Amino acid sequence: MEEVWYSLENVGIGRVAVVLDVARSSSDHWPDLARMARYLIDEVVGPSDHGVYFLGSAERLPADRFATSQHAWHGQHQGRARLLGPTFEALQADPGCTVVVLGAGPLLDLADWVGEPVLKRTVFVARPGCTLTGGLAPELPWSAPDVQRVVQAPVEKVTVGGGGALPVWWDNAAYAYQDGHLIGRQTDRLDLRVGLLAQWPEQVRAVAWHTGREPSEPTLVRCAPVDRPWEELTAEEAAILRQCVTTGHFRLPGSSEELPADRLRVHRDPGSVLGTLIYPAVGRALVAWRADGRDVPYPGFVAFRLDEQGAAFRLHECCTHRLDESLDAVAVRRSRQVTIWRWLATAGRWQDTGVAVAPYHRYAPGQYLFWP
Amino acid sequence: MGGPGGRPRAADLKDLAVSEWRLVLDRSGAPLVELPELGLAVSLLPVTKAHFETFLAQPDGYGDAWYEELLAVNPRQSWRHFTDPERERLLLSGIRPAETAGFLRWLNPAARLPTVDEWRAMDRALTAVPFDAAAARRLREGGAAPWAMALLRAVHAQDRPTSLAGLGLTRGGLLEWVLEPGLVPRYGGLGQPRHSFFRNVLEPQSDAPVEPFASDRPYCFGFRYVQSLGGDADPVEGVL
Repeated sequence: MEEVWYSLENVGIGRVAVVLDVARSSSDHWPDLARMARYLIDEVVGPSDHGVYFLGSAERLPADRFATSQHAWHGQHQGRARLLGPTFEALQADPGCTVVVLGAGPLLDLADWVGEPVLKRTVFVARPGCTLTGGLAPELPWSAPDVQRVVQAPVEKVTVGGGGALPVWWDNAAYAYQDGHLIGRQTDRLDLRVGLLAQWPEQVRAVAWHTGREPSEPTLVRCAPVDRPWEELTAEEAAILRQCVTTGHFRLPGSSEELPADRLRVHRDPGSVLGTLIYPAVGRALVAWRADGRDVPYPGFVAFRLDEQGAAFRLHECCTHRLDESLDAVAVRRSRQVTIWRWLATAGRWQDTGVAVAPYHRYAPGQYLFWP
Repeated sequence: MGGPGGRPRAADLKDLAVSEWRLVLDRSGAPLVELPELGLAVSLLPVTKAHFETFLAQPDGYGDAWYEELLAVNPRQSWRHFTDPERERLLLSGIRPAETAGFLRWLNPAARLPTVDEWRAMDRALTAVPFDAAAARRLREGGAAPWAMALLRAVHAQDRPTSLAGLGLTRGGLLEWVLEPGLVPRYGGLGQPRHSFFRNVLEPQSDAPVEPFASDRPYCFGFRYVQSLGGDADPVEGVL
């Protein structure tokens, strides 16, 4: 089990392979084919993990070098017949990649690929007056906006998971943990930074599900763990926290009443419906969280830190929280209930043990977990 | 006993018994059968369109326009989806002997068209190799390209061949270009295409090679290639 961190950007596009026709009979069209390829790379998909191929070749060339290398590459590849076979055989192994074929004449072996999955995620764009598919597959007209519209098809949802992974922190509230995956629903922003505990990190994948197009596989980029700052508690708040973690009860200053540690509010003033927060700093952070346009109950945890220097807290807005250094236990919150999930090696999956987590559960030395 | 370059003469090959054979792959992934008794490796199947396309996909191939001219003679059929009557459309035909040279050179500098004697010897040798469970396993595990395996599986299902010759379509395929050596070397076709593809009934072991018809690109003429084992000189070089 390993803790891994990924960032996910350009979710709506995923990886794109631009495949160019370099047949002899297309040589007059090369400047236009190259111009459209540059438009796609520079304006539509952006500088990321995209590839350029030439029909007839399985060699993947980095799209971010197309602008500077296109003439040399064209020189090396020109004369290849308009054959999909070698290119599609390579692209079959990359199921999340959207393929854009730019060409100026019939694809000689297209019939070999009818019904194959790679064809369903391929967009054919023909030069004016030309056909690539002869009706065997849909073609787009030679129009940059049309190509852009298809390549940037709206995303309905994004799933992140696989590889025995359980997410333990993420920075986008559009995502929720569900059935072993982190699932982000349609929203303006599906970019993500996520920390996961994963048994097989190399198998963790993101899949974007589009409207009217086959799913694509946006690239998860390994990144450094996100450092989330702690906020200091006041001396009074620290005193209450110390009581809670040591005795499971607390008394407010000036009060002899002993209260159980499972609450964030006390009702001392009969005129107050909501009661008084015992950690005002935490209360302010929760108010700020809600003020950020969210209209849902707070789904996550409050982590507390208590040591000789003082006390601090931070919001952990996600419904899962890593529990110990052995990396195989996670607290999972569902509504008010929090239970421990453990990695079940024999089954190769995470499983709810049914063991309830108590408030102020010590999850690391001097660090405690609470949920409002 | 033996011909130029240590190759057996036709007379030596009449009652050939094949004691061993080996399956190898060419650079495209097409299966070749090595026949040490003949001193030859022969392509198990006539060259198919998918096989030839591995060459056309190279930057120095013949180009789309040339290939489209060929496809007009015998249209292409997907090797993933074809029926029994469409089988010949997987095979490359309509090609002229000289046009095989670029493909053969790219495939292997030692690859060439067979002579009449070599073709007949190869046909007899492959007929002497039973296509049994052991041969089928060799092919299954040989790692041949999927387009070659698709055709072999279809021939197996359609014809139930009992020898490698039947599986390799020396009968039921095309008229295959062979070199007729002589003072003026020339080319003809040997083979026994299906009646649905070529009307005349031929016996390639005894009938003279078929002369090309008036058509510039005779639709039923294709080829398979051979290469000498042990690096013998190429008898066709200089003719093409």
